[in-house]
Amino acid sequence: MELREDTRYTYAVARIRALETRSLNLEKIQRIVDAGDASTAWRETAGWHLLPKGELSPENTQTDLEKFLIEEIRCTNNLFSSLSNDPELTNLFFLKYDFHNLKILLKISPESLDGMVNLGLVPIEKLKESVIERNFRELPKLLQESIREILELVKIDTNLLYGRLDMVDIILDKKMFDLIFRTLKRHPAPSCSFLNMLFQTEVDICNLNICRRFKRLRRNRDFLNEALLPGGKLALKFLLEKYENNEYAPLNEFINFQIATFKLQLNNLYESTIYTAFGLEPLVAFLKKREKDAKMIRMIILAKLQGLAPKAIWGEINTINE
Amino acid sequence: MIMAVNPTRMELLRLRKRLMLARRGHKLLRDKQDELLRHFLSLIKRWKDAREGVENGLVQGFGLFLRAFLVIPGYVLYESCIRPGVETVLSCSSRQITSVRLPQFSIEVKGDPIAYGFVNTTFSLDKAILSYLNLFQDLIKLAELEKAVILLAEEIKKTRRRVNALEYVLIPNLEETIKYIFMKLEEFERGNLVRLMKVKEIVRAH
Repeated sequence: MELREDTRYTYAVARIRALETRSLNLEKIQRIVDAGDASTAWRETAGWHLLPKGELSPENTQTDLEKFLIEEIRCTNNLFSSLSNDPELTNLFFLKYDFHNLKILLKISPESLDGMVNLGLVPIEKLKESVIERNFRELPKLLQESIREILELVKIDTNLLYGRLDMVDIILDKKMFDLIFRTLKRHPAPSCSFLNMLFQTEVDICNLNICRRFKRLRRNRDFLNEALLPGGKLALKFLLEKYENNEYAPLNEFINFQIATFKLQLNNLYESTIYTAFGLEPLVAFLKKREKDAKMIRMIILAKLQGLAPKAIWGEINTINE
Repeated sequence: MIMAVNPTRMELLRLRKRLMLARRGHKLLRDKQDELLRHFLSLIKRWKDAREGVENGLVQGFGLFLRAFLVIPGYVLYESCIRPGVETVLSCSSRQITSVRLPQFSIEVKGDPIAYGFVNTTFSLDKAILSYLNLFQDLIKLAELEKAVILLAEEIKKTRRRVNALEYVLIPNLEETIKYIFMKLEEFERGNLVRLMKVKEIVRAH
C-alpha cells in the first residue's frame, strides 16, 4: 500500500499523537474489569476522557453512562472534524448516525425523537423536518440525493411496513456504504486509498458475518443477496455460491478463516498509521480507537451492573476484540 | 340439630325424601370432587413442567439478550427492537371438565421476528429474539394452564364445601329430625294407646 505524506496534517497528527496516550491499553482495561463495582470501574477510566469526567449516579447509572459516552464520542467527532482538512472524507464517519436516525424516522413515527442520536451530520430536528416535509435542500449535499432515493424505495415497496421492516435497515445500510464508496472514488485526497481499504475490509467482515447468521437462521439465497453490502473485496457472487453450496460447518470454517484474515489486515492498516507522519490516517485510527474504547467501557460497566464476574467480562471483551 | 318442623307423618315422609335426595347429591358431589381432583393433579403436573420450562427459557433468553445488550450500542438496540416484525393473533376458546369451563389459548405468529438490519447487530440478538418468541408461546400455554388450575381449585373448594355441608350438616340434621319426628310419633301413639286403655278402664268400671 502506498502511503503518501499529506503535509496539511502536521498540526493535526501532532495533536493526535499527544491524545493517543489517553487511549485504553490492556493494563487499564484489566484495572477497570477488576474494579469492585460499576462506580469504581467508572473511576478507573480517569484519563481516558477528553471532557471533564462526571460521576455516575447510583439510581441512573446506565442512563448516565450512555449520556457521558455519547458526549465523549461527540467531543472526539468534533475534534476529528476540526483537525481534518478533508471535511467530505471525515463526514463519511458520521454518516452512520444520520442513517441510524433515518431508520428510526422511517420505521417508527416521524413525530417521535426517541432513540435518535444527535451525532450525525444533520441535527435530528432538521432531519425530522426534512423527512416530514420531503424537503432536503437544507441537508448536506452528500445526503440529499441518497435520502430522496431511499424514500422512493421505501415508498415503492409497500411490504416494508407490513412485516419486512428489516428491509428498511438493509436498504439504508447498503445505501450508506454505496454513498461512502462513491465519495471515496471521486475524492482526490491521498488518504482515499487508505479509507477505501478500511471500508472495504469492514464491508467484507460484515458480509461474512451476515452469511454466517443467515446460514444459522436458514434464510434463502435471494434474501442474502439483498442483505449483502456492496463494495467489499470479496465478490458477492462468490459469497453467494459459497453460501449455497456449503453446509453450516464448512461455511463457518471458511468464514472464520476469512474474518481472521480481514481482521489481521484491519489491524495492519491501523498499525500502518503509526508510521504515517502526516495525513488523515492517524486521525481515523484515533477516532476508531476512541469508538472501540467507548464501546468497551460501556460493556464492562454494564456487565458490572448486571453482576457479571470478571472472567465472564473478559469473555465478552474477547468477542469485541475478535 | 333438630330442624324446626311439625312432627307429623307428612313431614316425616317429606324429610325422608329430602334425606334420600341429599344422600344421592352427596354421592354425586363426591364423585365430582374426585374427578376434579384427578384433573387438578394432572394439570398441576403439567403446570409445574410448563413453569419450569418458562423459567429456564427466561434465564436463557435474558442471558442471550444480555450478551447482545453489552455489545450493541444502546441506540442501535433501541432502533432494532422498537418495532416487532411479527404479528401475533391470540385466539381463545374453552373446554369443559365436569361443570368447569377452562380456557384454551392458541397463538398464531405471522412475519419474521428478525426485523432489523444485520450490519450493527449480532447473532446473540437474533438468538435472544428467537428465544423470546418461543418463550412467548410457552408463556401463553402457561397462562392457560395457570388459569385452568385456578378455576379447578376454586371449583374443588366449592364442591368440597358443598360435600361437607351435606355430610356434616344437612344429612345429620335430617337424620336427627327424622328420628325426632319418629320418636314423637311413637310417643303420640303410646299416648293414644294409654288414653284408649284409660277410657276402656273407665267404661269397664261404669
